Amino acid sequence: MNPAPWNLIAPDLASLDTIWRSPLPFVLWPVCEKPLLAYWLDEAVRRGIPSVRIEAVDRPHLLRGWLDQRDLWSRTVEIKTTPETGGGYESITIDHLPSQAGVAKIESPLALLGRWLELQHEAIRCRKTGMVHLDQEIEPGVWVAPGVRIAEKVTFSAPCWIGSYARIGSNCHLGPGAFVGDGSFLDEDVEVEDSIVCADTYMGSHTSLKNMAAQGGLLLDLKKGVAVEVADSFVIGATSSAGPSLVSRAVAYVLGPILCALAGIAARGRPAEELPVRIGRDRGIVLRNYPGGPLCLRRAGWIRYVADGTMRWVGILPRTSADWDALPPDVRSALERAPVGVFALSDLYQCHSPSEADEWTHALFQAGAANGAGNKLARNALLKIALTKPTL
Amino acid sequence: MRKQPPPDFTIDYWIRSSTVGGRLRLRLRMFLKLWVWKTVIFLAHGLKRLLDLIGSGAALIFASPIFAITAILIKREDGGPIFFKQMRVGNHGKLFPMWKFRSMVTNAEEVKAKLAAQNEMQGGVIFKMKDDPRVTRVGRFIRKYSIDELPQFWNVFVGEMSLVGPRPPVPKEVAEYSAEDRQRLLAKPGITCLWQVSGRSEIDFAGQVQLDLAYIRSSSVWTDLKLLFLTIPAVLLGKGAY
Repeated sequence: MNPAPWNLIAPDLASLDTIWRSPLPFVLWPVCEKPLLAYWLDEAVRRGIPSVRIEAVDRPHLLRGWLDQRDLWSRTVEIKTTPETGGGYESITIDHLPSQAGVAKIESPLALLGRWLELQHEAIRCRKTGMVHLDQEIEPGVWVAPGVRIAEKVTFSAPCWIGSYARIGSNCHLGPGAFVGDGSFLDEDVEVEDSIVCADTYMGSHTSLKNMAAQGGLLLDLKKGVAVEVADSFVIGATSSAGPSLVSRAVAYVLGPILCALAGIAARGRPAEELPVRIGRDRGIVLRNYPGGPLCLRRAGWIRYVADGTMRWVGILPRTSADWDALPPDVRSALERAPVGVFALSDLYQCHSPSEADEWTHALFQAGAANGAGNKLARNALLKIALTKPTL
Repeated sequence: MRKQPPPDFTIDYWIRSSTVGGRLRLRLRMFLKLWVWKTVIFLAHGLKRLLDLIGSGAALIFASPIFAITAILIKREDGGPIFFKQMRVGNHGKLFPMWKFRSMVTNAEEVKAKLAAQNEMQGGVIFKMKDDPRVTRVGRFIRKYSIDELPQFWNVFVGEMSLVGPRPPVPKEVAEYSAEDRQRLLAKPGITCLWQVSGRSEIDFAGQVQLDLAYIRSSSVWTDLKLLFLTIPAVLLGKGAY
């Protein structure tokens, strides 16, 4: 007798994700080498489940995108955004791993982060069943993916997992419960215990993580439920800079003062307006808006932030705290990680301020379009945008 | 046991971050370390591609007389097409057309269905049998010395395949893969691999997966060169090939 098809329910936990504010829905959060959803799809293959239906309300487009990158799942997988009954489906809520039974419902933001750490521990625990794995067990309970380089005098306490092409510096101590993502770099004398170091994260020398999660420069306390952004990248940060290129910054150094001088002349004595905006999660900066001329002169005061690497030439428009609060939560989480620029795609459509009703739809497209299509569109029309005279 | 650094050393390190010059030095140190590591990763991937380009380019040029003779022989035997194109599953499950010299009769797929019961590849999903009646006379010779595989150097040259890597499966095989078997799709497929060198078709499917994963784990340009040199005697002796 064939087993019943599965109806996997991706729980809508976006309202509980108030600490990390992840750009991904919970089922795509990384659990060791793959997202939580992948464990269930692998289990479906293992149990011979003929077809899988995924019920997703929280950002289903990201789930579709993730599935599209993986060809030839040997089972039919479809995504539904509305609950469906019938068809003899067996319903399973994906807030745990297939090997876990009787897990409690996630009811608070702290419990959500706690579950994330618990999933990592469980993923390592259930590897001991003798399954074939690409990762290698270098010590009991210590798993290492291909391409990892571990320096001398590194000690481990199980369970540990190190992702591919991670670099562990000398005299580090990992574990118990250290989960280091792909491409991460742990400098000398780093300690990680009961913590998650997300992919592409740099941890500076003589740093220590305990009951924490680190993603780029963002630190999450998994016990107290606090998030802190670390400004100094040599303490903890991303391995690759998300800022503008050196050429863009050099151009900004040269053009910035010239355009500011021209903007001052075009303003004809009228004072520049100061606008406090919030970049990313917590960083606040003050932008100077000049009152006259085309956009390149009105925003000449912004260019200094391209020179210092905070903003780009092309990105979404910077927002005040009030503008951020006015956005729907899912839009806010999608835009928070998008780079902020002096010129935006919305400028091409005569939306020059985040307070305008349609601006966020353009920003959302610019932030989420595949292969940076939104940014490309804005870059191609950069001169036109820069010379636009806004009708205010 | 891990030796703890002296507290003074750690304090001294962090005192550096309190001055502008110290912060700049720490930032520069971080930048250099990351740059070196990224270069190592880039070279690990870049050198493999460079080896593929040089190796496949040279093979296409130097094997051109063999290409010409084989093409004439195949055409003369039954007048059918010289090349055989088959969709294979590549890196991360992406499909690509793999080229071979045609070694079977033109209606081979129809005959295959009738022969399915005689599959000798036990415990797996691959179809192989000795004295396969679908193989032509020229086909038997070019298969024995792996000449039929030569057009795959074109797949390597365009970047769909690598010189060394797990053999690319057909989509039908992948549909029957278990979650564990699927891990062999995590590398670019190749012309030769560990299991081809160590016994070729005589190894069962589970053994092939184990060897493919062992290759992916230890993949480096040095391993690739070693496997390429080991492939030459395996091909010349025709070991394990039908």
